[in-house]
Amino acid sequence: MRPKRPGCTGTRRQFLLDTGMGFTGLALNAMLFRDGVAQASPSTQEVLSAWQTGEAKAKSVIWMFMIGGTSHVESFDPKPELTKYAGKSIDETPYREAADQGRINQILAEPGKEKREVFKKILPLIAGHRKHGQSGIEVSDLFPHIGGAVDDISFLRGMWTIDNNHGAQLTFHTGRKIGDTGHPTVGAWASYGLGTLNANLPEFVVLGEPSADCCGRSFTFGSAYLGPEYGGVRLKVDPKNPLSFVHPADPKLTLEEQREAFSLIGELNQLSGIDYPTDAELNARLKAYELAFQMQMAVPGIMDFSGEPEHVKRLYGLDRKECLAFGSQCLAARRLVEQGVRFVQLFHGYSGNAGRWDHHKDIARLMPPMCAEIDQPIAGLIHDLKQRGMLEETLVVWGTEFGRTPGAEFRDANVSGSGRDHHPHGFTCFMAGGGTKGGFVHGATDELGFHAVEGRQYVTDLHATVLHQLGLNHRMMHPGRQRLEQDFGNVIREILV
Amino acid sequence: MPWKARIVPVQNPVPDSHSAVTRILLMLALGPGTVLATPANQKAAANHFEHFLPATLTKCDLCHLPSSNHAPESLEEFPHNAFGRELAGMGKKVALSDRLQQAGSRDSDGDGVANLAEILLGGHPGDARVKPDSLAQLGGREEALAAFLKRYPWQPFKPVTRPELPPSGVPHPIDVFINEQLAARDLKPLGEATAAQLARRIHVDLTGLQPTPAEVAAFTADHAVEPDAAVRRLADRLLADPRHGERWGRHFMDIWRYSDWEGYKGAVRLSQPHIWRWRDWIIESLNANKPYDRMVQEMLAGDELAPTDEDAVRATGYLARNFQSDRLQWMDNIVEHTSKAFMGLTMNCVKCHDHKYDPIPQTDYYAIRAVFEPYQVRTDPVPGQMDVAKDGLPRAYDKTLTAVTYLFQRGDERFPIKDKPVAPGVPALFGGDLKVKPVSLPLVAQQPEKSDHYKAAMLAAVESLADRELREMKRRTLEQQLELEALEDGGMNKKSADWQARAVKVAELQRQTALAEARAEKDRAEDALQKAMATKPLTTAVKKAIVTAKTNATAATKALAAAEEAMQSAVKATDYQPRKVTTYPATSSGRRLAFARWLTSPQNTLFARVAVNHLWIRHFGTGLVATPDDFGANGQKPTHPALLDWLAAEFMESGYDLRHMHRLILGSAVYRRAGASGPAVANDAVDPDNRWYWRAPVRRMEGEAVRDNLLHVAGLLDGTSGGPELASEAAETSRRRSIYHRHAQETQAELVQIFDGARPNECYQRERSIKPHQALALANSRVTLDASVALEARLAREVGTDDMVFVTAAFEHILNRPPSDAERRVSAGFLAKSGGDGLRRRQHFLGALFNHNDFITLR
Repeated sequence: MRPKRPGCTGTRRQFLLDTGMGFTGLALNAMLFRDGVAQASPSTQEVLSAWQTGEAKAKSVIWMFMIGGTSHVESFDPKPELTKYAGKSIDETPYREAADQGRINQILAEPGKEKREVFKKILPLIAGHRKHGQSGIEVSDLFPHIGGAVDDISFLRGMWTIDNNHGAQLTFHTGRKIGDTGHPTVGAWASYGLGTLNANLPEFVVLGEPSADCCGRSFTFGSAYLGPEYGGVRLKVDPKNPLSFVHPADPKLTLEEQREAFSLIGELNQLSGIDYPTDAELNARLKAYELAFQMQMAVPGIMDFSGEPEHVKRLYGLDRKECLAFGSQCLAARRLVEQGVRFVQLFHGYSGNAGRWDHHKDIARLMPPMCAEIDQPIAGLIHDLKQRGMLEETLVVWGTEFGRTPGAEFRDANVSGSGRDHHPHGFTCFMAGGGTKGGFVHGATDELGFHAVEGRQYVTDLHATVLHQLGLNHRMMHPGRQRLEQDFGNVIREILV
Repeated sequence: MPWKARIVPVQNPVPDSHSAVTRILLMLALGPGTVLATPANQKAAANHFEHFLPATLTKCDLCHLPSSNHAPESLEEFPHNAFGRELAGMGKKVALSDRLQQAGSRDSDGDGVANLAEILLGGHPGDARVKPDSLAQLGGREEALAAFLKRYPWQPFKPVTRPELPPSGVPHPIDVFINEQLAARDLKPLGEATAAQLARRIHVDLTGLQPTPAEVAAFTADHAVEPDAAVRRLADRLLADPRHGERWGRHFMDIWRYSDWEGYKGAVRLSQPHIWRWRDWIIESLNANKPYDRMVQEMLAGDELAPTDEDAVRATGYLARNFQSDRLQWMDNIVEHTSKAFMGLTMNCVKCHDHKYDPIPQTDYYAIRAVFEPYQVRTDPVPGQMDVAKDGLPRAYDKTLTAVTYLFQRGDERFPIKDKPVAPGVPALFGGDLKVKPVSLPLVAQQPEKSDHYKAAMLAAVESLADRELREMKRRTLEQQLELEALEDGGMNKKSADWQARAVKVAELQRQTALAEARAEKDRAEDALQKAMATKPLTTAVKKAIVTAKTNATAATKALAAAEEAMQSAVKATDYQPRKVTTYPATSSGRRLAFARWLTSPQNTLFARVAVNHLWIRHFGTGLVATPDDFGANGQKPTHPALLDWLAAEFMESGYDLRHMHRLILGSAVYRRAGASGPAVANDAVDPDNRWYWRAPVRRMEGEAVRDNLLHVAGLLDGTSGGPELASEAAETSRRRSIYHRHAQETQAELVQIFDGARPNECYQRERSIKPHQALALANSRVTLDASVALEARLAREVGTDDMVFVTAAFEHILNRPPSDAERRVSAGFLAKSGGDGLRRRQHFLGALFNHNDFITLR
């Protein structure tokens, strides 16, 4: 018998007792218990205790995803050898075995399905790099602000993945190749395992435009078989329209009119309840309307930054045009986490296609402005969380579907600047806060940044680590489904405090 | 009872970091209550005694001792106690329940009290240190257990035989079985629901749309005179309503996993484009009352059963929908869900190991997979459209007749057992085998482009050409060519003089057509060139266009010269260019047909049982078996096994007539009971969950019904049926029924989905959650707003805007009942409040009523 979160089927009463009435989570359940609508359910407790370890280090997660594949060698894994051997073939360097085809095929889920040429002619680094902080960790000069925060960050330089095309975006969130489509994402597992801390808000929130149709779309924050209530809820950083159905379809409806309507609904439902005094569903529905009204109030408020002091907004770069969009997402993420949202997933680089980080060409011209869009906001977020004492309980994760090749990609003879191709064999992600070490590097790629050679971590290892820090034994969660070893991943203990 | 060394299923390894003790504790925490290593034995013991097993006897220590080891490494270290040894000593060949019966009168631990008495009193039959204080408490328990053990046996793997009706004065067979259980528990059934409640219940159950006030009034009048006949007449009318197919079509689409396609550009990842044709087939088949067994046969093997019957082939959308770009996953899904939907078996468990609960060996999984191994999906052209990307019929066919299935060790595809291919078969527990006979397919099934409608479409395309000369020539060529093709297909020998002569004739026509086309092309290219050269100003784009036009013109001139050159030589029969026609295998393996015939035969003892349980769920909210996809030992046992079997027998004897079953159920008193739970306090104490049906269940309508009724009540619903799916986002503004909106894994109609819409990948029964987001959606949706505005206009027109009259009419339209005095007061108070204009107030009032719990609830 496998533990299954109660609530899929069953009788009405069981259902009411077990699911917290199918609400956004356990907090509401607790509320209803308190109010005597439902009774505490031993089975809920039993099931949850099967996978909650009671040793949570983090309460919330802010998960940032760069769509398209950010170059690791031009971000957090600088490789001076590339500049040294610029223009030479990998075969002419001491590291020629890096380009061995057998080695390249080894990690791919479907080698040969997506034939990609190995670009051997080495492209020099497009930017300098320097040591930062007390830890002296080297970071590309394209990220001066994040450079300033390295002492709060654990870098994972030995990441690898299984798809050399952008289906890897989905893989990054589920551990599965794109053909497998719907599997629960890390955020869905977190929300499934923990429930919310604030019943006025969804427990799993998505900000920014997610991966496009090609590369996973809503599956990158989906909950698949866990059930829709555990999937990410997309909010827009727009106080005017942050959530589906949060605003009345009638633009002329005033708050007062709506309050009256909700209160009429409540009154009429209560009157009808006289005939059905033991109908717990009716009581739950009454409660749901009260909460809906609160949620409608709470969500737009989160996205309204007018109460934030100017210096805080500046911290996120909101005064800079290039930082405004992502900086707003980062600030909204902090505000959501402050209100008890468990998992905030941020997307950056939507292009309607593979993603704006997909620098096949002219990387020297196209990549620096994109780095500027995220550098200050991310550093600002880490700084802000820290100064509020929230960083210890908030795990910040930065990732992308893969890195980029050491070799130059010349696909179009007319384009002057070259770029780098997809590179699943070694790339970098990082984590900050939430019980991870600061000023720490785990894993490494070889001298060319080709293969991850030390501290090799598959993408689900990130998931395992996140869930572990949230106090979940992710291996215990398999609600009636077969999960592969690959789905579970291993906790990256090296980076934990 | 041997402990197995490996207790946790392979796919659920326990992390190494845990100590052995934690590991065992974790294992124990895995299930409901405590869990034993051999679930089958534990389940068997629990099933045998059910509620007669006292809580003081955990299922473990009934037969086992605690481990003497402080850090037990495996469950091997929990040896049998005396009672466990007694049972084990009888040998594994005897079923555990029989062994438990036999061991009842013995005294395993030698404490002077018989095992059964100890069990019933919580006194540990295997532990001499514990024995009951007094046997006086045994009272009638032994007799009660004996009676319990003689109850109607639930034997889902035995053929259905119609149980005898217990003697009673009750007219309806369903009620006989229901009342028997009520009486046994001293439960008093409630009386009949009000006519208005009944009308609403029957309308929504059969069509998904609630009655109008006029329909309620008519039924109420009828019901007052002849209650039974009134229900019968209403049922007949609604079953004949085409909206019935839409309502029940959606139910079956849940079970059969309907999903619109998912993919990117041309690449399909899940399901198939144009799969809506299968959805329409479901709806139309229900509206035609096609026998259920025939429906299932067509879905699994319509292409083999009736290869030229487009309707039957359309049914194989069931198989086309299972398409997934990952073939392994595809095969997994088809085996898992075909088994769950039509056998109520969790065959998916058997992919990696023998079933832990049911007598299903691992090989059975692969035998069923072998049935499906040869099949693939293709899209055939449909009348009037030659381009299958634009429209077509997604369907199944056998592509690889020699496809071989291997058993994967531990379910791991990397380790197939290659020397022992698995033949197609049926689960061994049912007995019987497949009689596979290859099916030879008629020509149009092999070459769909040779269908009459496709040829007609080709001719129509020629007819649409503007150039008259070219049109005429092409038509003649095509006609002759098709004629020759038909003769060839009819067996004309290509060496015959007749064929030679005809081929020469067609070749000549083809040559002339090519020439005419080359001429026309040259004219076109030259026109284009002149036009390009005349374009001002001369931008880079224009320059580029000129270069292209020049290249084209040169090419066209060359092509014309070649065509003219070709005319010079004498035409030969070998110049004839036959039409290139997509060709599929001439034979189908017949595996699926044989399987479908077996699946729908009485040999599959679960076919009818599972089906009637699904019908019951959709009339009563819960199943007689609460786990409709698992009728095995790990599923829930039926509350009314005899009733379930009786219904299954009735369904089979009726020729799998779904309407007959609906009528039968609606005719019962249990269906027509009142839903109010208020006065029946005594019942509530005994059976708060209403498992024994002493009242009607209170059910929240499905998302589709919520949205459809908003439109329907306001008179906005567009009754058009069928056709390509509408965008899911359109559900906010479209007036069509929800079933016609895109329903795929990545996108569904949001308003519907928030009310627990079906998960496209698996939904054997709907959930019924209550979430704040539902409140937001229903309060704020455009559909509710439009419905409120439209209904206000309608009511104002029909009854005027006098507050009291308006309120009554509103209640009757939306809730199908008049308001109580208190409700009238509150409503009138809302309408009369000062501020704002009356029109908006009335609209808001209607909006609030649409948010009333009674609107979305069936009582």
